[in-house]
Amino acid sequence: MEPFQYTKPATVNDAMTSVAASGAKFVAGGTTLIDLMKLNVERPTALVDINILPLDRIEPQAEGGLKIGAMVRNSDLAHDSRVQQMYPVLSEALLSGASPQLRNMATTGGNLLQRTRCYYFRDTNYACNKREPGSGCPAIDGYNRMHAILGTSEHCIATHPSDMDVAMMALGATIHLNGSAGERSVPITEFYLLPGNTPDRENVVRKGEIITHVTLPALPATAKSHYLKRRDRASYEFALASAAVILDMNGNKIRKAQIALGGVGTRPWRSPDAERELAGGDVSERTFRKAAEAALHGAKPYRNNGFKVELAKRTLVRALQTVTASA
Amino acid sequence: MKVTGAAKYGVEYALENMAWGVGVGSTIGSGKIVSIDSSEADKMPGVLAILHHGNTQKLYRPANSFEENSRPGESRPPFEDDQVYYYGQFVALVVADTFERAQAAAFRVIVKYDARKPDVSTDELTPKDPPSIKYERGDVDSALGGGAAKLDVTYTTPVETHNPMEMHATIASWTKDKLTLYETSQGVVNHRNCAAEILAIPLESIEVISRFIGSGFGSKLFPWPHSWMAALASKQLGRPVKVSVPRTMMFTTVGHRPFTRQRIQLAADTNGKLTAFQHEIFQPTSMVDDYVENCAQVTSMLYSCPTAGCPVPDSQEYWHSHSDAWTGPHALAFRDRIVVG
Repeated sequence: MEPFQYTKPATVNDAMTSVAASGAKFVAGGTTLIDLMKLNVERPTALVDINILPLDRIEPQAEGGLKIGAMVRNSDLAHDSRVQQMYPVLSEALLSGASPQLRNMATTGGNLLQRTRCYYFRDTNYACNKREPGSGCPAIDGYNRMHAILGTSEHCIATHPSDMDVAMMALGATIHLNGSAGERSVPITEFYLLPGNTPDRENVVRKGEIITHVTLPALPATAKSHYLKRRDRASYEFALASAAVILDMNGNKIRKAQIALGGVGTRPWRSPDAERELAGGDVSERTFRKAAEAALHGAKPYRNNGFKVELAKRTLVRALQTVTASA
Repeated sequence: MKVTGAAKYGVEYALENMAWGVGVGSTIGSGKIVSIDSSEADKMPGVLAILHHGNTQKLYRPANSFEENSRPGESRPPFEDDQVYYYGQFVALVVADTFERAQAAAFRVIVKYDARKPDVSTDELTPKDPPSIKYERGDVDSALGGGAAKLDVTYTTPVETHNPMEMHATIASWTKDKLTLYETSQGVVNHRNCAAEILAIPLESIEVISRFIGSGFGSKLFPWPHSWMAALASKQLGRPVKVSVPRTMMFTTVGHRPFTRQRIQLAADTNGKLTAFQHEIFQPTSMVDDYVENCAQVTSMLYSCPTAGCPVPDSQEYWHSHSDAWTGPHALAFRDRIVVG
């Protein structure tokens, strides 16, 4: 860990000013950042502690839906009765992640910004295009069992490891930021960047900006949602494949679907192709399987992660079966 | 007792004037150290010494004998020369007045290597020489050919690393010429004997203390290089030095069970009684120590069977082997298979 300056602003404006300085980063729950600082992957020269900023409320919106402050802890969000009632997929996704201790510390904003678990990224003895653009990607020809099969490039195949972000991707969340150029909002579908030839750039947050809150649109009363996560261990483990599914039902036909996959993409993977197969479809394994084939169309496996293609399909099918079987 | 602090692990003693040592591990699997640049680390706050093969006193290789109770985990002492035998081998020890300072300085030590490509593929492993027969009774080859029922199966076991809750660690403290080692050890007598031989000091001048350990699973039967690094640093600085092996280096510097490939052949008569049994083991061993897992030890004693053989090919390969945990259960699994067939 490198030495750093430490400040703890009390207002959002002060936080924005502090973090605009070169080498400064926010620390909220610290559940990704402190780890990476201990590994010398992240080396901020200044930490701006935002834990006392007044951004920790969950409030209903006038137009429906919820407004979630960036500092709301993952555990509080998961256990909120409104979240459990309106967005089961979000609560289930949060509770499938990490451990209770981590969930108590981790924040909504921090979760959106979490970084990959790629072991080459996390070990400074290896080259890594994400850490040092142009240095190479040892994962592509290395041990890549946990790596992505969707959204990869010849420069980076690192998986985005989050659960909450996948659920929010399916929900069509909007992320609200504030910075020196003022406030702006970004749909989550535009928030994450593909690695391409700039794997060091993961999202559209600008220097000096802070995520203030996330808004979730209301779902119709006829909608049901679910999150299914598949991994080596039953707990405290990242996804090999996961599926966030939201179905708006018209009797026993699917009116509309919102589908996102986790554990398989370089970013939370929204699947319009799967959604198209499901829209207007019946509740049947045949329909679900067609959607899964569409979702994974074009997936590119690597030496150790070919199993993820079929695993992701079956995970999606199972998630759809579960959500349509529930009352 | 543990929760109240009444049961201390070896490394939980706070000695007066104690310093902390943090190891620097090699980042190549095989090769040579070309240079160690500690110029920046030397100047960092609290740094007391940076030990490596270029500036430490000579240590000796011990008798390395299980029977004589002088068996180290690794017979090569740390900093013996500029050779690197495995990834994560200690190439330097940074000692400072706090753990955080030692760790920060360790990150700043720049080691340059002349790397060789290590051979790490087990798929293409073929022994160059015929196997040595570790145990044999009867004419195995003919008996295997003659049974009414036969079985020929090959199993593999993966590399396994012990990860006890309490990591390996040592506090070394000298008073005049007497050395006290606070250890986490399953064999303090063996540890003391090794210390005497490696450090070349009289047996009576060493005390090894290990009151409670947080599991070992065999990895704490024999001493590992960090123990000697702590002793060296403590001698050089004239104050106690604590060296703890971090969790990441528990996978590299304190041994593991090697990959094994085991071929078991059985023959039985029409009543299901075993007439022949052969258990072949193929495994990589260490570049430093010629260590063989006792996979077939149980097999030779397990069944009433007139003919049996346990050939083990000798194979000088890579990695760091250790642990004499055996892999006998495979023999039992096969017995069930042949009876049902």
